[in-house]
Amino acid sequence: MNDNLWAELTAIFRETLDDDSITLTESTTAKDVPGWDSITHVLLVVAVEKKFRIKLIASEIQRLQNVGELAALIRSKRA
Amino acid sequence: MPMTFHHVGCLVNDIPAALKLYQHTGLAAGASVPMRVPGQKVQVCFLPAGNDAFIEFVQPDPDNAFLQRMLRKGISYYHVAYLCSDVETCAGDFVRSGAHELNRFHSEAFGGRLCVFLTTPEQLIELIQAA
Repeated sequence: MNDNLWAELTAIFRETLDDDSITLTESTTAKDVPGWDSITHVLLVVAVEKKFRIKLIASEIQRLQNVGELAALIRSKRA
Repeated sequence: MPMTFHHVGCLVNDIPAALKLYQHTGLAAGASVPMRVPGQKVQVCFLPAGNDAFIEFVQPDPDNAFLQRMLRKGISYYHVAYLCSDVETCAGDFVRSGAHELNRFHSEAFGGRLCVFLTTPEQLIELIQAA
């Protein structure tokens, strides 16, 4: 993953979840991050849309299995 | 899409303390009795603001992580709410315009009617099924 994208995603997660200890990996899922519930999931999506100026649709979001896939989706949208 | 403005939601740490600000205005006398909404982990109180509109004071429960985070960040007024003749149609219209559905629930504050929260990067909107 592009280091800058990785840093930006980490910042989004830390800001949204109000937890500076969050460290993401490609395989991170909601189960690995305390507080990442369904509401927070939507807030993360909205924050990603704002930060990267992209639009994510429901079917794309539902297919995501981990943070690595989210990063790949962001890259594809920005390409 | 018939919809009318109903209230603006205001996060507070303590509803009685929030109402004190209005105690000399006459508005506080018309405030609703604070009501628990267990499904949303909040207490709410509606203060009439004229023209059939309200301020909704929202006091989150200690374990309401989402709203407690907003409070810690200093956010007070955080959502606007509309009464809709058909909440499903209204919600669909907002989604088509780019909003994401945050959650839906039947609210004790509105007689068990369906409510839907939608969000964009900058706005949080609540839709309430009209009676």
